Amino acid sequence: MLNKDLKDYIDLVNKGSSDFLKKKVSLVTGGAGGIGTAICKELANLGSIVYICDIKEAKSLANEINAGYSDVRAIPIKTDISNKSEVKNMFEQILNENGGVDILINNAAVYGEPPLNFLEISYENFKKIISVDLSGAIYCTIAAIPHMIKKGWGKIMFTAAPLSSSGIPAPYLAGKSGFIGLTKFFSEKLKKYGIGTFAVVLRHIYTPMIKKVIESRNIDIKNAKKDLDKKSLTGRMATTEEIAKMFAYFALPISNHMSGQTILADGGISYLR
Amino acid sequence: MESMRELKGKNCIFLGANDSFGRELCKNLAKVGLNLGLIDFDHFDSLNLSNNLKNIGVKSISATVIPGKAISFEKAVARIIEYLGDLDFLICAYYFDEDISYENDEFHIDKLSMEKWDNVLEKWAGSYFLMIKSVLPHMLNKNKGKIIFTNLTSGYTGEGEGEGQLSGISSLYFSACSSAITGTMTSIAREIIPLGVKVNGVAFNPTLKRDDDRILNAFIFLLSDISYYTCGQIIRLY
Repeated sequence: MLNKDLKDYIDLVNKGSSDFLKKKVSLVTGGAGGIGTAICKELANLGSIVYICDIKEAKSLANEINAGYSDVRAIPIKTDISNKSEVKNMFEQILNENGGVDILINNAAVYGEPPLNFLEISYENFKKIISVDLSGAIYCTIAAIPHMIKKGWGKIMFTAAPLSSSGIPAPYLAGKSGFIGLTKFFSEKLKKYGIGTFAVVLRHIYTPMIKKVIESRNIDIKNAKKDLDKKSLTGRMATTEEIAKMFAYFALPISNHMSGQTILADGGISYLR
Repeated sequence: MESMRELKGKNCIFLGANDSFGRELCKNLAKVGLNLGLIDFDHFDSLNLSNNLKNIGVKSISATVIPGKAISFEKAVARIIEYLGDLDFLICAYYFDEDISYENDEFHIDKLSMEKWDNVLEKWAGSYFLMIKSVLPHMLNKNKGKIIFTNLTSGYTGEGEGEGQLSGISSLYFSACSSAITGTMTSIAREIIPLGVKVNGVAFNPTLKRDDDRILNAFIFLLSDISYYTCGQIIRLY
């Protein structure tokens, strides 16, 4: 027998509605980046009010999203998530403006400036990267939990990297792999409050960050893309829009029963290659 | 046993000798014949342990480091290597004895603290980073060396497993930091194993008894040449 959330979802699909997340407030960190932008657009399309959190200005993205709707769905919120005070202020603002966060997507990441190999990287640079990629997400999660508990529902997601991965620099991998333990931990502790947690492990997604990494290695972008496409068992890298749909799915009530999951979205590279 | 004999007289730097886990492991490694340079954040306990180890006939010295201060790690390593004469192994086994609560205390959401996370990250992952950075020039000079790090199985499971799971607020920090350490070490291992320095790890259930034989067995295996072809692995002790 289908559960209520699944039935509601099917009913809404049959009615042609796309407002599954109406009245829900989402916060997407790194919202102005490649994957972040796609997630913001997808959540807005599902009816959510989306706060686009980024260290960069995101007004033009918010305007672009809002142009497609009669109501305001995207709100830029410029924040450095590695700064605890800024994070606290951001959540305070969202609480005052729209009653708090329902859906938190910890997506922000920096790859860092070279040198990134362990033999050359300084501790300061290591710390700087990890303070965004790992600590930033932990700060946001700690700040979001009280909002979600008050609402009796919430979704927390992390963009993650595999615990072991080839050629990824230590600070980036440290940050992104830290979410695996955290997702399970929070799932266990927060389920009684109706809060679900997910980690989506991404590899080989065609984003501006991937382009930047390829260019920093002085490799021809077209050849590099072809090589990366071939590595995936699907024959090509995933697009940011495809990944955004995964996050949107986990934001929906239909996925309420899937908490604590770490989902690989890697074209089969991690285990099948 | 051959593997135990081959470790006799080898020189090892050990980060994290002050807590119950590190202390027990150091005593056992000394029995196997390792000379030990003990590093921790507080000098008093490691100095006492060092003196005790000297009494059972092994070379031992202690030094302190300051979390986040690279120069303090470099100085401590230089001092220990000068005393021991050489360096074969680094064991990074820092642990948070004072913060982990095994009792069934409830997970209090209001106790979640950004500042506490910063502290765990710098003391644990940060110290592993600085420790390896400091010993690596010595090991690479000789194209040899083994690095073993420890973390917790909660980095994979989100919790301790078996009886007496970690239930306190601190388990949040340990779960996240353990996973982060695994990621860091995997990346470091890929880079430095081809240069002659082996990196492996031991993850243990935080509720494991400190005198559990499997802990010493895992370390003897990874320190000895039996594990020559084992690279970038983490032995999980549940």
